Amino acid sequence: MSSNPFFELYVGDRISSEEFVTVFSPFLVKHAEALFVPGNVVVTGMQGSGKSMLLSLLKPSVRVQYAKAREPFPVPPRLRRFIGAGVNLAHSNAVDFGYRKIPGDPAEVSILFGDFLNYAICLDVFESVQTFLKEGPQFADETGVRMDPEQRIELARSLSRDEVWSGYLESCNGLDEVISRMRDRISSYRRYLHMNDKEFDGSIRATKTAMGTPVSRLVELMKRLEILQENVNVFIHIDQYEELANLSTGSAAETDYRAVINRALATRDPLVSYRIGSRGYSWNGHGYVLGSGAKLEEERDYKFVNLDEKLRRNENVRTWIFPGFAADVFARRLNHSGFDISGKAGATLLGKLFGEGISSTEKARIYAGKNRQKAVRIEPSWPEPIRIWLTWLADSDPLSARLGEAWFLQKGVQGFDPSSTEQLPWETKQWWKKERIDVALAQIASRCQQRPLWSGEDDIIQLSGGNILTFLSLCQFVWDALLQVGEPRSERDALQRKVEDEIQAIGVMRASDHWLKKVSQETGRSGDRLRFVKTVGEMLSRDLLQDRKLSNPGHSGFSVAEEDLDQFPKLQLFLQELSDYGNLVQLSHTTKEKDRRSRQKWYLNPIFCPQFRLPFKRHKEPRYVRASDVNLWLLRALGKTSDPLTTDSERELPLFPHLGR
Amino acid sequence: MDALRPWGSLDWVLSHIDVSDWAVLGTVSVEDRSIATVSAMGAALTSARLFAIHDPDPLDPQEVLKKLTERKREFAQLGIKDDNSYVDTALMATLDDINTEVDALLKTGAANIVLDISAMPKRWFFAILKILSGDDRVKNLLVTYASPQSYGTVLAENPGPMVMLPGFAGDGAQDYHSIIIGIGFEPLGIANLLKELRLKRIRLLFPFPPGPPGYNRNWMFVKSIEDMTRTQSIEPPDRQSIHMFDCPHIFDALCEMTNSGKLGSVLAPYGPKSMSLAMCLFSLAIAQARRPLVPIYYSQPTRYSIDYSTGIRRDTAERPDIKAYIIKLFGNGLYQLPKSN
Repeated sequence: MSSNPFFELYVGDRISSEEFVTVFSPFLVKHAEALFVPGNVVVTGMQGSGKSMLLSLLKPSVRVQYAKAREPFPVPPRLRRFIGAGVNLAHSNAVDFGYRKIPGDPAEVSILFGDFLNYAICLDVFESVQTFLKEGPQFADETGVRMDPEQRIELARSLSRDEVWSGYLESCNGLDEVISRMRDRISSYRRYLHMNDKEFDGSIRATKTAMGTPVSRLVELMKRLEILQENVNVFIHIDQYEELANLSTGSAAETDYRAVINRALATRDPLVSYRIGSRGYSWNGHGYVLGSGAKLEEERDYKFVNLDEKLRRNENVRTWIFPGFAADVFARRLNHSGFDISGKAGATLLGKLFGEGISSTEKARIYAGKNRQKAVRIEPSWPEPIRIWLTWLADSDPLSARLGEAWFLQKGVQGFDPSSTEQLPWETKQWWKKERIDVALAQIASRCQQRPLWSGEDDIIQLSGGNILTFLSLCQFVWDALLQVGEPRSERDALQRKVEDEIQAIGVMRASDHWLKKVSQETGRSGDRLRFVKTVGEMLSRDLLQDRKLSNPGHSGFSVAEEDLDQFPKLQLFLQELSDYGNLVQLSHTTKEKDRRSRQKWYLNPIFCPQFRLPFKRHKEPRYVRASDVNLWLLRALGKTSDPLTTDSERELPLFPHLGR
Repeated sequence: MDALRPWGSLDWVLSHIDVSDWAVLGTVSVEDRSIATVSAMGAALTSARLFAIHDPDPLDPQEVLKKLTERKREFAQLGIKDDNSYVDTALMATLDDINTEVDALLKTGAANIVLDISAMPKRWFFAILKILSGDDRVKNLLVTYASPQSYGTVLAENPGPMVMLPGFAGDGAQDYHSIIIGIGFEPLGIANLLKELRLKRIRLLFPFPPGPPGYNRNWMFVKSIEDMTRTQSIEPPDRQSIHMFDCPHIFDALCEMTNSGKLGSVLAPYGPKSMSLAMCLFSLAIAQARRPLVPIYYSQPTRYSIDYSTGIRRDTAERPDIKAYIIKLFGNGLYQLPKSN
């Protein structure tokens, strides 16, 4: 065995349409059916949530490949009558609207931005229709798309006369000219925005279109001419919506670009449904609609699909869909690398390869090594028989001894008889013990100067935190470690034997290091996010490791009352960004306090936990703090001496103030 | 090679051009090297326009201000005393703002320009070079680059998405023959680009000699690109080692790789600034020749480290190591596509 089948982590994002067919896991489709039914959908999910894969199903090229490979298209037959088209805002020059100032008031610039998108979207609709038509008549039935020469002529004629274009297409003869003219318009925008043209083309200003109207009219015409069958849904995906929040030309009155897209959703067009790909922090709390005081409303104007939430483990482990998804992806990835595994064998294989991990008792013995008494710290004030007995217990079962230490510190030693220890109180209190095992183990490892071990199928799945990319990365690093130690395994029996726990632990630690470092490579305020994660991770870890009584085993996370956080809107936004990028896990929770105020709690992404020696399991109550405390942590993380989240104007640095800005 | 495109140490280049009145466009920066060109110009310098380019969200605003104030004092000691020579401006300024600033200098009648890119972000110097190259008022144009003594461990952070640099858009195509990547330290955002574009080849320009500490990071960069593309239906990346300061040679290599732009290409300038300079000039030459435009993609960091670089490297003669490239000479642009094509 010489190569790593998990070598290419991002295969889902970058494979060709041909490869997509073998690698794509249809597992999530049934959990995200909203994407394939009419109505607007806003979909969020961090990298690795499967969002790109799901949205790829809207691409005609992917659908064509399924047909060519004679594989069933993963969308249920009742939902297959659709065509998809759209734009990626970061890659379509849409974000270039921040490069130049377009003369005119912000409202007009908004309309021009919408006009740019209208043309880009319509062009992609033509492209999608063309992709299906090129494949011949077999697609006509399934997709409901066909176009003969007469329909083509009529479509061009109708478009050129349609008043929605304000005469911009009226000189066009034939569909090719219509498309060419539309491309000219996009090109004209691009030329201006990149200063190839100094002045903005006045003819565009005179013929600008309202956001969403042209594509709606185009679809209406296509349906009237039976190019699209009546029951064909048209899904327009607009990706990287969050980038619009960063567009600025430094003008006093800035254009609200997000409101332009929101305008399209607000129309609730029966002919066209939008799929907006966004990060939550950019979507939540905005929702303003261009030209209206109103805001979008969830369920009325759009459905919200949060893939991270769907894949994250909730209280009930039986409803957790991620392990099934991971098993399916695991098998498909191995098949993609040349193994021959049936889809259903993924779960069995995962168990076979990673095993059950090391029991807690055994882990404690490994950490304690030969000098097991290091695992326990005995108070000199405790009676001698107890001290002797606890030392003796540490030799055989350091974990139980450490739990005993905590029990005595919490409850006192009174009433404990070392001569009658068949029923140790900390061993019989099932929940008390369960909630403290992980912290106790972390402390033993720390006291014995050992690195905590993470291994076994359950650890691998839980460390993945519901993210398929993290899961594959863990597989990759474990496999790499296996290759590095040079354990002889043939290709044939590569999957038949468990990878040793020690090797898994090495892989897990490397994966954890990789993911932590990767934070700063992401977009947004990634530098600040990394500093915050490190500061909070180290602080939580230090406090947990110093908690001798094991009184607060849940303090691997922190909780803030929502109304308290509302007083710190910028901190709130920053915490949401941390959550959107998967640096922190954010959860609502019920309070233990009498005031019953609703609260939010945050934990580090499980994959970071090995780096900070923090348990990833979430037991008991997190640390209750005030929003101002969290703000101080951020202050400390950034090495600042004043409030880190001051207003933008306070951040300006006039070196030469007399010159103005 | 069709044209002579002189480059070398600033002293040497200046001594070979019969021009005595140069105006500098440069930066007032936290980096020590931002002062190198002005310092070395001596009597040949007649005016300057220096930009304090502010990050939108600096980590330590007070320290930045302190350093910039000190730098301004150093510039004043060199004779740049007129307050109108200094301009506060934003890193993410629009092309219109950048154009206004360049125009302000050209309106003074300055025709011989030195553009000092040592401490100037790509977003700025690419745009300025485009503006200056296309302006007939500019008769002679030099670009200077001063090497620092050392770099910080983290150079920049908070990268933006991988988008076209202002002024360097393509024609809207998604299919290209190749992407040419200047090898740097971290391939930020490249994964998204490889996903969006349909490419046949990936070509890597490897700065040579790399030398520590860049050496390891350059190779890690290469490895990550190779890892990303291993499963793609694309030819494995090829690598061309090229002198990191030899801008004309890099320009020629780009012409050769793309058959003078007849093969559509995309550029990603992660490498040293001198390599990025060649990419910028190549894209401009393509546009001038009316070939299919060559877009330049970049993931713009929005925060630069206060210790991005320190000191100014000295050459073997103990002079500041400042390279100068002649871009325009007596009205003639030197970086044009080969005539044979």
